[in-house]
Amino acid sequence: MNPMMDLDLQIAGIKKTVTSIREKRGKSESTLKVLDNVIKNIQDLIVSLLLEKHLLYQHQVMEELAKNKPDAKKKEAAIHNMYIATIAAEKYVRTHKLTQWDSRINRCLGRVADYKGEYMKAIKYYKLAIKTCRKDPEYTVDKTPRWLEYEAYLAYSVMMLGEVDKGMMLSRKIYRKFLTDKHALDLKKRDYPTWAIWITGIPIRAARAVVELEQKGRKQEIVGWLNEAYKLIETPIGSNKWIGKVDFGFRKQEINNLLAIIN
Amino acid sequence: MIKSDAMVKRFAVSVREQKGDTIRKVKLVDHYIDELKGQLKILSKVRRKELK
Repeated sequence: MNPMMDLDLQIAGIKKTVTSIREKRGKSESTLKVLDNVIKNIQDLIVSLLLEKHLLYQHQVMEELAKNKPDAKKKEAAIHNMYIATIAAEKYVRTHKLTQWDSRINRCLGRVADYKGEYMKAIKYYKLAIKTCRKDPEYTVDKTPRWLEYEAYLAYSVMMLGEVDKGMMLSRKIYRKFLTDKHALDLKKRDYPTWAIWITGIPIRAARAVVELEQKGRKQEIVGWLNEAYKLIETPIGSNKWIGKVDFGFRKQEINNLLAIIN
Repeated sequence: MIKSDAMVKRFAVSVREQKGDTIRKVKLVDHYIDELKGQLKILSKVRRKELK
C-alpha cells in the first residue's frame, strides 16, 4: 500500500476512534483508558514526524557535502533548519513529558553539533543518547539497537576532536561489533537496509575525518576499508519496511566521492 | 491502534523519495502534524469533560 495512503488511513482511523469516544462520553474508566492510549499514540506519531523534519534537512546537508563544490550558504541554512526542527521536537517532548524520546532528541542534537564542528558537545549528546536509548520506542517496539548507531557517531566526533588514533580504534571496534554482536546481527536479519546504512556510515565518516584532518598516512587503510564497506551495499535489496528495492545509491555516491578525493 | 514506528518509517521513506525540494517535503510532513494536532485537541477536550 502507498505509505501516504497508509498514513491517511491511519488518520482516518484516528478520526473514527475520536468520534466513537465522543459518542461514548460518560462511560467512565474504560473510556478514559482508551482515550489516554489514543492520545499517547498520536503524541508518538507527532514526535516521529517532527524528527522526520530534522532528517529531511540532514539529507539536504548530506547532499550538499556529497557535491564536489558544496554551497556553503545552502549547507549552513540546512544545518540551522536541522537545529530548529530538533528544538521544536524537544519542546514538544518536554511539554508532554514524553521521556521515551529523550534519547532520539539527544541523537539529533549530537548530529547538529557535529555539523557545526562542536565535537565536545556532540560527544556529550551521544553519551546521553546511548544512556537512555533502551527506552526509545524503536527499541521497545522493534528492538532496534540504536546505541550502535550512536557509538559510531561518537567515534567520529572523537576523531574530529583531534584524537585520531583513539577515534579510529573506536570506529574499528564498532564496525566489528556490527559484524559480530547479537543485537547487530538480529538487526541485519530483520532490516538489512538499516544495518547496511549504519555500518557503511562508519568508514565513510572515518574517511571524511582522514580527509579533513589531512591524515595522509592513513590513505591505504581507509581506501581498503571503504572498498570493503562498498561490498555490503553493492547489491540492491528488497525490503517491505523500506518499500521495494533499496539500491543504497546515496551511500555508493558518498563512497565513490571519497575514493576519488583520497586517490 | 497505531503501529507508529514501522508506519512512520515507510511514510518517511516515501516522503524522501517524492519529487521536489526539501521545502515541499517538509510542508507535506507539516500537513500531517497539523492533522494529528487537530485530533489531539479534540481528544484533550473530551478528556477534560470526561474527568469532570
